[in-house]
Amino acid sequence: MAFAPRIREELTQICGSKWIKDDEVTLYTYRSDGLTLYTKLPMGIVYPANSEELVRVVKVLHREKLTFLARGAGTGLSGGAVPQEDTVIIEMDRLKEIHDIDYINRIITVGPGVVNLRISEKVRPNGYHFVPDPSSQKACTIGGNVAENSGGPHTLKYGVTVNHVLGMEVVLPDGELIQVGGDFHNQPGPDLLGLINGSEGTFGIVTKVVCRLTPNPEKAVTLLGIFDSVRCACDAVSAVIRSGTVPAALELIDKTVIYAVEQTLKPGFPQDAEAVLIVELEDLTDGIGNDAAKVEELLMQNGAQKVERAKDDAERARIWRARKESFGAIGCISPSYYVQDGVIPRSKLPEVIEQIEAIGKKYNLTIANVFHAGDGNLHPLILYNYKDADEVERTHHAGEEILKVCLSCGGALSGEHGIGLEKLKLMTDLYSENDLENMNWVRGCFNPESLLNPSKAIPTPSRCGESKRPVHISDDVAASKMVTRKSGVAV
Amino acid sequence: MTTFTPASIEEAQTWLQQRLEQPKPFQIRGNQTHFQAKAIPSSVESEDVLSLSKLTATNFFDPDDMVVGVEAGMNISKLQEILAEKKMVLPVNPWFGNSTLGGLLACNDIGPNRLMMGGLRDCIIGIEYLNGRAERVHAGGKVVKNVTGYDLCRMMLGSLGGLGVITAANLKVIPQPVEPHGLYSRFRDTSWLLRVAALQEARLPIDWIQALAPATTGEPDWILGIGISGNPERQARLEKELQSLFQNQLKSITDGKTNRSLGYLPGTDRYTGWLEGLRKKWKLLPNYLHVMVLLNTRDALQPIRLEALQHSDLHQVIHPIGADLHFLLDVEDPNEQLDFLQELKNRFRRTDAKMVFGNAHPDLSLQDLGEFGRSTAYSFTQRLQRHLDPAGVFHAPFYQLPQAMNAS
Repeated sequence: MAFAPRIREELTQICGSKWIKDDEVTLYTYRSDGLTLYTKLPMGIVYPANSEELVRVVKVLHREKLTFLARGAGTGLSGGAVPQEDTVIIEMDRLKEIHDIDYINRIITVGPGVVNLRISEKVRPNGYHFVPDPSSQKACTIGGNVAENSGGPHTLKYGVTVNHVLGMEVVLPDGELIQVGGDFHNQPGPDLLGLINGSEGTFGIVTKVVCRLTPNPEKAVTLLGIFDSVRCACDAVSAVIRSGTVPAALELIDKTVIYAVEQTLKPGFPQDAEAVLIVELEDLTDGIGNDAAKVEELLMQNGAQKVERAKDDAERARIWRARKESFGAIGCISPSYYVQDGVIPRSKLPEVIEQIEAIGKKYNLTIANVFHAGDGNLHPLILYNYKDADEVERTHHAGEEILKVCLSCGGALSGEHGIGLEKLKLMTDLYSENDLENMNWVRGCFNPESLLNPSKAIPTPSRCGESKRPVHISDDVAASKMVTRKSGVAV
Repeated sequence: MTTFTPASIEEAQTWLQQRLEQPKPFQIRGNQTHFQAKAIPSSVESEDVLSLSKLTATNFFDPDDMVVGVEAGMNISKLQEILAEKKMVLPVNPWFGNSTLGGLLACNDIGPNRLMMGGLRDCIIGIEYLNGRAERVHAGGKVVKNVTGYDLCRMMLGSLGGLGVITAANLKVIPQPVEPHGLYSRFRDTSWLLRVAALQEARLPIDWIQALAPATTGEPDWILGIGISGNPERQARLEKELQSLFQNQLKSITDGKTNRSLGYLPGTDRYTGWLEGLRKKWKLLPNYLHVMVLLNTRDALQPIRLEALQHSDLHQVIHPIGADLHFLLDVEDPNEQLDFLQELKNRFRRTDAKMVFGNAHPDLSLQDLGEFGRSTAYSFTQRLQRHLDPAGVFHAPFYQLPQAMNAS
């Protein structure tokens, strides 16, 4: 696919020829997001420099009835930024200006292309940070965070993206620019800000975001509970939550992931442990030691072999690096992995983790676990070889079965990655057709012609049973050979 | 006027289905604790009412998972009572204890601990409502973190009865604060604003903050209260820092309980209707004017000169960090109310402030708030309302304002 000459010409007038691309190598680069099981080549890529250019681009695409979607860093894990055939991708990377910082109001206004971690880096010297901290925070952008309503380990105490965004500028699919929210907490009328957050880029394209800044904790205490049983670690999670202490983060890592991170990042986790639990408390220095001691006691009472306390910031950083880069570390033990994002009532953790293990055995697949235990947000990593068609198929079945287990115990399909393409067909297992049709009705007000990021987030009406299957491996291999040939880069 | 009070959600749904056959607007009500202003003075009020006051069931309460689900007609005091049995609390600040949960969600009340503990938008995890086609729809769920489908929970928050009939909601709750404790001090002027600015800069993790000035014929007598909680070491440290910022002027409110002798309320009352006690204590006339001004902390702390708003019948309740400012004028004359409203609008003209009526003489309308009464994406909000209520049955004045309005 490529732009029709007339459209290319018009888009070039808006953005300049350098910022309109439809060569084969570029198209290949944009064929998927972080979930590589689903791929499709877009029609072309447009790189607007600012919201004015973006509005003009959107108006052209809308007039031509072309489908389009906005993409940040492409780190999404549900296929939300995967194009359809003939879809134009609007790359938001150039809208990365940091506009205003206001420490009295505790806000920062940024472009959607700003990388999540940059916000905290920018305001850290003044004693603040931006709370949502997805594992991909070194790469993912704030626009993507808003689209997916991203979370991260520290959302247990502080909330997810929607809790840390006060205002937005949004381009609707017909090019209309609207402001929602502002620089303070509440507006009269319905919470459009909350509605647009997490709409997976199907309601509008965010061009500016007013983010809340949170004071850095005076003291953080990081505990590492070491367990010889995953079930005990899960029981300990419930015990901590029940005690009335709400940690800033409560993360579980199982032995497969421990092995992977020890091969690569070497945080010093005991390799004979079945699981480790990272518990982080944040507060004033005064009194935090007592809370930490209480948590240590609870972990020991619930079967921890040992509880270690990070001695200094360096040790704390080492533990967190291992947690946040654990998905990447899996690369040393498996050519591919498929991560799920189901969420369950946290009191069901022990039984669900056992069921996940059983599913792994049933499909003869290794399933590693590293997840936000305090929120009940699971991230089972199904390890597979992408060159083995049968294993890919079994991976899909196992993933689906895991999500069905989550639903059967009162949970939901996604805690922070979104539905995207990946989980569409399971939406009817959670919501009635009526509920989905109602969501579609709401979407119709923003995106009546479904030109913006079609077929994402909720199933297409009357096709609730639809299932998007991954591309054929042979197609992908052929495409990657083409890219290697043309670019000289091995893919 | 006819009022239909269904005993079940199914009854409400059947009633709405019939209503849609011969579309005629109706108002949705809970316990009528909130005032609903007309859009413009000549607006015709809907005569029919759908009252949800009998929908009071608890659908589930799982303290281990810190989640609760109740029907929309349950009043907030009752809900807090249920939660308190398991030492949990819904950390939002209703204005009135008898407000139903549905009313609270539809009006999106906020209060003294908005900044530190959040508001309803930080607690809502699931919703059930009847839409403009009389369909019973659900969104969200029972888990504390969820991005499955569109967030219609938050769409319904603050919807003021215009987008559907909220019939039930699921909420994230938290453990009760440990040993809540309050500190207060009196001020003869608004010099406390400077101290609060210093407090904001110090980034201390307080629980809530509220200043109030009862009506007086002389200089207003401000009482500023600050809530803290936690283990003894934490509280000792906070108290030390706060005393330093407030030059050792802070006195203690025992165990964080409401101190009625001071007229000071946000102790435990902040979870069960913080405005209710004040309304009673100040013996406000039925048609008193209550305007809530929403604005950013910087504007709340710096240039507004609250003392210049002095009026012998004016009570003020200020939540400076956050920020929402409540002006309660105890006069019933609509012209006097309009004059005061104009004064407020002048005062906040250079800010992006928004205003909401908490109460007013029935002759006052939303149009009197001008642009201050409209949200940032107001015309889109109107479009959304028309889209989701094609038959026009949900009587909701907020969405009926004329397009062009004069901020003056």
